[in-house]
Formats: sequence, C-alpha cells, structure tokens
Amino acid sequence: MASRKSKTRKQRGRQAPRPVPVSSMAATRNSPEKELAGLKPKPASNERVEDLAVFSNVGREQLSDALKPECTAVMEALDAVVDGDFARADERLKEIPRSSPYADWRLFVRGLGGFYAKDFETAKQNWQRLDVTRRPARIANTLYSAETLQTLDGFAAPPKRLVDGAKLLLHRSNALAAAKQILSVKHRDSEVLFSNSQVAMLQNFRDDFRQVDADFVAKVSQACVYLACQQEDPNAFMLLKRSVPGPAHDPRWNLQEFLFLGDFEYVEEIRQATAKAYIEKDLPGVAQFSIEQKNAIASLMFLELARRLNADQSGMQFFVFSDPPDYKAIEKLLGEAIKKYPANQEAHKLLFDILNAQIESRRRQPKAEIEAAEKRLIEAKEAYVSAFPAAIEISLELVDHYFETDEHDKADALVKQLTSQRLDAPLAKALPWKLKVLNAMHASRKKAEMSLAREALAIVESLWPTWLARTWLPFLKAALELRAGNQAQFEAIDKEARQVAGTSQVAGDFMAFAAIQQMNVPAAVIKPYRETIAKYLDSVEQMPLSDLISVAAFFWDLTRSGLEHKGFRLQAAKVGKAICLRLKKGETVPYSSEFVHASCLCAGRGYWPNGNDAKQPAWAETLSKTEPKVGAVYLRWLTNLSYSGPTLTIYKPLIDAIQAAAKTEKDPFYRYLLEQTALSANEAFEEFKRSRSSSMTSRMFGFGATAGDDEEECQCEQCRANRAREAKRNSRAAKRSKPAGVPKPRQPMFDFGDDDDFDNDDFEDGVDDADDETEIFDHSADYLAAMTRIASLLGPEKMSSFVVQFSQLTNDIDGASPAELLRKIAQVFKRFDLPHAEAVRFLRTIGQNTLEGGTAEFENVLNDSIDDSIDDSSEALLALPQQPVPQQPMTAEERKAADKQRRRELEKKRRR
Amino acid sequence: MSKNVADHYKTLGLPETASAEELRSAYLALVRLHPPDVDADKFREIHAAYQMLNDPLIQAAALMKMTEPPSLEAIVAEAQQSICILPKLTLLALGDAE
Repeated sequence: MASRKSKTRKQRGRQAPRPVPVSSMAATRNSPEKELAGLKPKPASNERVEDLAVFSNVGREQLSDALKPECTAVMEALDAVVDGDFARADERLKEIPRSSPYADWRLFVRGLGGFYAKDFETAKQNWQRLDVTRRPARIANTLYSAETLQTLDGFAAPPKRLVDGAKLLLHRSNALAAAKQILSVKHRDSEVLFSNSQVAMLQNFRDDFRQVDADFVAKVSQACVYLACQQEDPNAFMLLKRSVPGPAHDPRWNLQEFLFLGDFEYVEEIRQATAKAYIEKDLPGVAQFSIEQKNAIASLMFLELARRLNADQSGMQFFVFSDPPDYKAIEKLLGEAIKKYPANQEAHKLLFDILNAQIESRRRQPKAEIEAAEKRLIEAKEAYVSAFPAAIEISLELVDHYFETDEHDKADALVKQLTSQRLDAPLAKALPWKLKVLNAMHASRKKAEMSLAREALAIVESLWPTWLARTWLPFLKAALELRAGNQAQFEAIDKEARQVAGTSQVAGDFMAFAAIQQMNVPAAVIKPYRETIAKYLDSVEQMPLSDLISVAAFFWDLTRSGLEHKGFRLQAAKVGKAICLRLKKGETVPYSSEFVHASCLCAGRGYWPNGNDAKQPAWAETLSKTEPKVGAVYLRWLTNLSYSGPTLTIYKPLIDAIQAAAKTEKDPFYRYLLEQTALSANEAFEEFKRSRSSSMTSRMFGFGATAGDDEEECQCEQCRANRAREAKRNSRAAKRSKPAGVPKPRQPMFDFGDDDDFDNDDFEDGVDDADDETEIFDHSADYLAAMTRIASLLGPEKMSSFVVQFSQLTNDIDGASPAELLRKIAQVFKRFDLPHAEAVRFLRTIGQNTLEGGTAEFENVLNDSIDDSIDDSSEALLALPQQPVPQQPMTAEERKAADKQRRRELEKKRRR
Repeated sequence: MSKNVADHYKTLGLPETASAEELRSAYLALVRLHPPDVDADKFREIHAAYQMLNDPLIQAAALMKMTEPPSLEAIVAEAQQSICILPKLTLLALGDAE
C-alpha cells in the first residue's frame, strides 16, 4: 500500500478534485437477500394475539392493557438484539414474569443471544422449552435448523424455503463473496488503491446487502472510503462520500474530506467550505464528543486552514516580486481558532508570527497598517496571557509595553498576577524590582516627581536580583541627580560609581549614558555625553578589545533584564559586530565572566561576521563547548529564525550539553535559561524532523526526489566531509565525460568578478536550459520548483543561509532598478556557487512573473543581460559560428505585443 | 526533557488513534497494576500521560490524524467467523407457518 508520505508529494500541485458522473452507478437489481429483507411476518391462522401484537398493530390493539407493556418490552428487546446489544435486551425482558404469555419471548431472546454468539447449546436449552405452537418456537426452530441442520427436539421440520433463506442470510454467503470480489480487483497502476469500477461494485454490494446486514455493509463501505482517501485519484472518494454514510463522528465525511483535501493544491476554498460544514452542521450533532472536544476539533481545523494558507503564501516570500500573504484571511482563521479554543497555543503562536511579519514588512505596508498590526499584536498577547496566565515571556513583554504606553494600572495588575503565581522564572521573580526601576524612570520625566523617583530607586536597591550585577545602580542614581539639575552631585556619584564598579573609562561612559537616557535627562544636557558615545562608536575598530568586551557585557545585562535604552540596538550592534569581527580575525582576549557575557550578547543577537550564515563562528562554537550558556543564548536566537531547522540539526550535541549543564548551573538566571532552551530547542528539533516528512518541507526538498531523499542526512563532520568528497568526485567525473571538441567557454552572463571557481560549463548548460525551459515557468509553483532545485543543490545547511540572504535582499531593493536587482540576485547565486543554469532559470522565472504583473521592462533587461554576455564572449562566438544571432532589444510596441501574447498564453494554460 | 504525545501514548500502551474510552480504560488498568504506594514513579508517569492525553486539544489532534484505513481483509475475515444478526421483521418472518 502506498504510504501517505510518498503519495503526498505527488498530490501536491494537483488541481481540485473533480468527481466523475455517478450515472454509471449500480443498476437496480433484485438479489435474494433483498427479497428476504423485504419479508414481513404473516399471521398464522392460529396465531395468538400476544404473538401477533409483536409485529402487527392489529394485534396490539386487541391486546389487553395489562399485557401491552410486556409486549413493548419484547419489541424493544428485539430492537436491542438487532443492534447487537444483548445486555440491554436482557435488561428489558426482566420485567416479564414467568407466568406471562410473553415468557416464551423472553426465553426466545435469551436463546437468540446464545445463538448469535455461536453458543448453540445455550440456544437449544432456552428454545427447547418453547411452546411449539407459537411463533417464537417456529423462529427458533428455523434458525436452529439453518445453522445445525437439525430440528429442535420434538419440533417438526420448518419450511425449507425459510431454512434456505435463513442459511443464506446467517452465513452471509453472497455478501462475503461480493465483498471478496471487491477486494480481489487488481490494478494495473500500483498507485490506484480503489478504482471507480470498485466504487460501482461497492454500490451494488450496498444495494444488495445493507438491509439485511447493515453492520457488515457499513464496515466494508467505510473501510473502502478510507482506502479511497489513501490514493492520489480523488474521484473514488468523492463518489463514495455521497453514497456511504460516515462513522458516528463524521456522518457526512466532511472531516475526512477536510483532511483528504490537505494533500491537494488550489482547493483552499473547498476545504474551508468543508470545514464550515463539519463545524456548523455535523459537529453539533456528534454525541460522542464533549463540548470542549468539539471546540478543540473546530479550533484545530481553523488552525490547519490558517497554517496551510500561510505556508502556501509565505513560501513565496523569498521572492522579490511576490505579493504579500493574505494576512487578513490568515488572521481571521486564527481568530476563529482561538475563539473556539482559547488554549490552542499553536494558534496563538502563529498569530504572533503573522502579526510580527506584518510589522516587519514595513516596506510593503503603509504606516497606519503597521500601527494597526502592532495594536493587534498587543491584543493577541493579552489573549494569550489570559489563556495561559503562567506565560512569562509574553507577560513580560506586555509589562514593558504597558510601561511604554503609560498604562501603569495594567502593568501593576499583570505584575501582581505574575508574582502571585510564585513562578520559577527569575525574570518573573524579579518583576517587582523591574516595576520599581521603571517607576523611577517614569517619575523622572517630571522634575516635580524627583522625590518619587528617588524613593523608587531606594526600593530598587533592596529588590536587586542576585543574578544581575549591581554596578549600574549608582549610575542610575547619578543620572537622577543630573536630571534634577544637580551637576556636582552627579559628578561625585558618577565618579564613585566608576570606582566601585572598577570599569574602564569607555564602559563607564556607556553605563552613564544609558542611565542618563533612561532618567529622561533633557536633550541639551545629554548632548556632550551622546557625542562621546558617538566618537566611541565611530572608532570601535581601534578601541581596545577589552573595553568593547566590558561594554558588551553591560549591554547583555540590559538585554536580559529588558531595560534597553533608546538607541541601544544601534550601539549594541556596532559593539557586538566589532567584537565578533576582531575575534574572527584571530585577536584574543583573556577569558573572564565579562567575556562570557559579551559573547552572550553577540550570540543572542546574531552579530556574526560570517554574512547571514545562521551557524556560529568557530570561536563561539569553541566557547559554547566550555560555556553552554553562550550556546543556549545562541540557540534561542537560532530557534527564533524562520528557517532554523536544518542548522539546528548540526547543534543537536549542543542541545544535549545545555540540558546537562542545566543540572549543575548555580546562577538561577542561567539555570532557567539552560533548562528552557534545552526544552524549546529539542521541541524545535523534533518539529523540524517531523516537518521534514510533512507536506511543506517535502515541497521544498522533495520535488522530483526519490523516497530516499526524505531521509535525514547525518551532519557529523565525517559524513559531511564524505559527502563533499563524493560531490567533488562526481563533478570531476562529469567534466571528464564531456565530449571532445567543446568550444572554449564563454564569459558568464553576469559579472561575477574574478572568481575562478565558477564553472563555465554550467553557463553553457544554463543558456541551453534557459532556452528550453523559458516557457515552462509561468506560475508561482515554478518559484517553488526553482527553490526546490536550489535546495537540492545546496543541501539543508546552506539552504538556510541562502534563504536568509535572499530574504534580506528583498529588504534592500527599494528603488533598485531591474538591472541592479538582477545583479544583486546574481551575486547571491554566485556567493553560493550555484550553477549558472539555475541563475538563468530563476531570473527568467522572475521575469515572467513580473510580466504577468504588467511590466515588460524586466524581461527586456534580462534579455539584454544575456545578449551582453554573449556579445562579450567573442571567442565563443568565433568558435561557434552556428550560434543563433542574439535577440535585439524589443521596441515598446513589440514589448507590448509580446506582453499581450504571453498573458494570453498564461490564461490558456491556467484554463487548461 | 518533556515527553511528546507519542511518548504518552506509549506509556499507556495505546496507539495514537485511541478513543477517549480506550484511554480511560488503559489508564485505569495501568493504575491498578502500578498503584502509587507500590510504584510511585511509574504511577506519576502514567498519571501525567493520562492527564496530558485527556486534554481535549490532544484528543482532537489524534482524531484529525489521517490513519491507515481499517483492513478490508480483516473485516471480511471477522464476518466469516460470525453469524449475521438478522433484521427484526426478517427474523419474525422466519416464524411464518407453512
């Protein structure tokens, strides 16, 4: 049987399922079973009124009132037997006394229980005592004869036609044969699991047997529907869905259809309609689920829809000309998911991601929309905290926000709520301290409230967390004096603070400046201090590394306590990046706790100098081994990246080391950090492993791949080296096998500098491929296909860097000309040593999609670029006189006509 | 390290598609086997797994997992071994006189 995973890949990209007409379904036929099912008991001439009443209204009317309840009990007991519920039947018959005329029916039903359980001895014991002149005895005798070929002792032989009919039904001879026939159908195509002809056979089977053997028919039919769901062809499922009733929890197969459609593309609207039908019409009637379960199911369905929409659209985000995702639709679905089940954590998380993505994509959206998104993000966080009151990080973010927006009441309430929970998180424990620090800073806004600020700072001293250096406190006090206009006092406290802290001049200046900014010192007063800092930042390359380390260590304290001042990000980035660059160049620094803290700052903000590579540089990797806290901070940064999974696989040993270090770490802040990082990184790692087999990842890595491609590649040094060697061998072999007489390579299409590694063979392939493939690229799926090829060329590790660089490219192209864009894109391709063919393919893809958007300029530039490259390669042209003459740039009218023609072709393709 | 859903199902010896009733039955059976006063650690593990899996969201997720279809062969084989329960009127008609 084809596994779900292997077929999913193939189903991706399929159009919406279109069922075939049902006209060829089962013809109306009359089977013996159907006739037997139509049998109705006929009253015998000597039928007792008590027996007649069991199957006839006439009999019931004639029955005395005293016997009517007993008759009803018998009828209900028989119903229970038909349902297979013999216990209920027994229970119902208890009311009938032995002396009652219905006592025979009680014996009969008891015997029937044994009979259906193939316990013929029990059946016989009960039935042997029946009055032979009455209907229960006659039924029992017919059943017994049909099954054992003997009559009950002292009973006459029952009518043959009835015995034959009973045999046929009881042994399901025909039903089993029909079911086996459905099963035995062989398919030429191994992908087919349930064909349309089997659908017709099943219809006949159902038609013939459902009245006499409803349970068996239902089981077979439902199994067939599930089987049809496992194959690529949706027709069988769509046909069966209409005719086969679903299981109790999914009576109309809407849930199953929702899941089934998850493997198809371009069906999101149908899927949403199916989800709506299930949630609104089917789910309320499902008795087996509690209200919470129903809400949870609905919530997950909405989440799944949102995820799919987001995955489909964010897959395009790496490309410069793609439209932004339909955030509104995704948000709406997530809103529904959260409304249905507020504790759906995944829905909250995705909503945060969506809102953050909107806020970050400022280039694409007007300011008002960004502000609205920020507001919605706060609302989303509030909803999250309301559903998860122990959520520390989000609560802390909210507290910060409330302070920024002067919503002190809300901040106080949240802090009170968090502290009342006695949470383990050091940051949560430190909240009262932070609240007072923020109070002091807030009070410093008005000169009239200086005393309040001083009071708050005095309390701050007593609440200062043990895990945070106290060195900054005197600077805060000094800054408050400066704010109050006491210059002399400021200088005295500042001097003392520097002495106590033992900091260098540079670090002291940064600490003082941060405090001055936080204490709202007026701009005119702050100016000289700002200029000093600016001078430092301008000369970070020349400053002693130890000074930079001290500053970065202080910045790390601000980062982890969430007390960053204005301009912090710029300052921290300059200092952090300078440290990383100098360490990379080989500069050394004595090992100290300051160095560890500074490294934490760099790791936590990804100030690596190795481009946009998500990997740690060598010095940080070494440090992470001895100081897992640095590794933990780095992993937190890494797991927050949108495409960290592949890189994460390299760091599995680091995750394990962090987990081990959490047990021995004494510092409460780092202990908690290590514990939580190990937890979240492990989850992210597992999630990545799972997602490798899921649809989205298989699209990124699995296009045209074999089953083996899905297997995780080992990332250990040895295996990676082996793979690299293998790739090199293959590359050499390919070059050796190149036929003789190959012309001298032409110059590449773009100016990639003087890098000798560029394979000129690739350029030739690229031009050829591009010529062949041009017409293929026209839809968004081609972007994915192109990216998938690139992913397969680069491997997961490099792919993540590629994606990071590419997405950064999209942020840097404001106002860039098409030519400039092409150059930038080409540079990224070159940086990753991608074959030129891929660059050509990809650029053509972009060009076509741009054309679809209405501009031909890009295509023109692309053509020009190719032409230029061919023109430049005069040697190649001399060697290849048969080369086609390069295409001349189009005139505006030609361009328009080409544009129109292309659009028409696209439309045709789309219709097809 | 925190356990994932699959681990919890494994603790209770159930497939990930187990129903709420199966979950409860398995839990009760295991608790009887490992009472807290005899095997406190095992009991805690079982209890945690049950609590986790009793979460409606996790139950819903299990329901929404696409599973392998029930085997048609097994259904047919089972039907071969049992007697068909007749519809009520058909059953009563078997008592018709000649």
